[in-house]
Amino acid sequence: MGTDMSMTEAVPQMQSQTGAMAAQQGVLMPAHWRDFWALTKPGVIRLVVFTGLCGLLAAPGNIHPVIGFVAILCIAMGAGGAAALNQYYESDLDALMKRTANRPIPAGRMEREAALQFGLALSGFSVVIMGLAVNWLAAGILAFSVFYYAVIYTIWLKPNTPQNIVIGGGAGAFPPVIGWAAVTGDVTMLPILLFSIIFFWTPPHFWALALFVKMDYARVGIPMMPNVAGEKSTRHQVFGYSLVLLATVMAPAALGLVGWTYGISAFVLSAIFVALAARVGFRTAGEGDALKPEKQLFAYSIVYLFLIFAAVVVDRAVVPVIAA
Amino acid sequence: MTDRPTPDFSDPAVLAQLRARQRSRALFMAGILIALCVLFYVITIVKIGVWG
Repeated sequence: MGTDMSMTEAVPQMQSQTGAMAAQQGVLMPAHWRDFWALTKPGVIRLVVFTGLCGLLAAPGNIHPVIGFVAILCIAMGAGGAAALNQYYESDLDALMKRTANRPIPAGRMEREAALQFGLALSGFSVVIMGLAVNWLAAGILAFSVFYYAVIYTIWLKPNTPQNIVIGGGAGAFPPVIGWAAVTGDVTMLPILLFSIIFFWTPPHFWALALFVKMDYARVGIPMMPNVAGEKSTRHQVFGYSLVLLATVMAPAALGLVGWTYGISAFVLSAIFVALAARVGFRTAGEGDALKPEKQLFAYSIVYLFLIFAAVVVDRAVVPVIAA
Repeated sequence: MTDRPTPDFSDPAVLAQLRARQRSRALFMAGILIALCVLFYVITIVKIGVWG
């Protein structure tokens, strides 16, 4: 559901000494529960849960807090299941990349089949519970988002096209729509715009990362934009997409779906984003360059998305209460 | 399934490692199942309208 957006994701902090020993020996031992937790990419789930919660809070109408909690839990479980299926399919490639080599399967702490079973069970369970406890529209969108990430993005797009992250960005964009559908049983213009914000945020966010880990992707033959179109073209596209993102982020305010609190916040945050993207877009990095602007854009892009969605919630759920 | 060798369970250290791993997984699974029981109970209470 989420794209691989966090550098600090899912490295088991407390890998047991015995687990490391088993991995070194290459022996078949049952995986530790912490490895199953790592398989869900907890770093990515944080963003997925947050955007899903924002969709839920921004939606008109009421939902019982328990049912709202179940909806968010199901979004998190669906994302975790999709992440496990992704790691099942990509374990061979993960073993070759420095950033992912310590994941449970390539590190030898877990069997691939265990990841497959865990991923299918978690995602299937999340969809059924969402349908039974919340509503079947939210469950259907959740099921499609898992399919989108595990099959359309991971199996089809990622190994075949440098546009993988552009189209695949849709996979991480569903949570606010699911959160909205959980409350209203419907999908209207605002959730579609929230989807579009994440969709157009993904390319500059991910290509900023790809610019400083491109050798990893080149080594395993994944056609990421910097390796296929070149660094210069990627930089220009990062800037181009930041402008598209600016327009998309301002659309809810322009259409009158949100108020000035969101409008002003979104404009300021997006102006900073475009300025950072411009710095990345129009520079040339030489040998031994620390790629500081790229790292700054990547780090800011995560904060940016959190703040944009927080602004939606403040505008739609907090301001009306204060004003009343 | 896998081409990795099966551990030598006659080795006490390997056996202890296996038991520790099984125990932690069992406890974790028990925790998950208890949490799910509580969750399903609460969902049912909400759905039948006791908590409005």
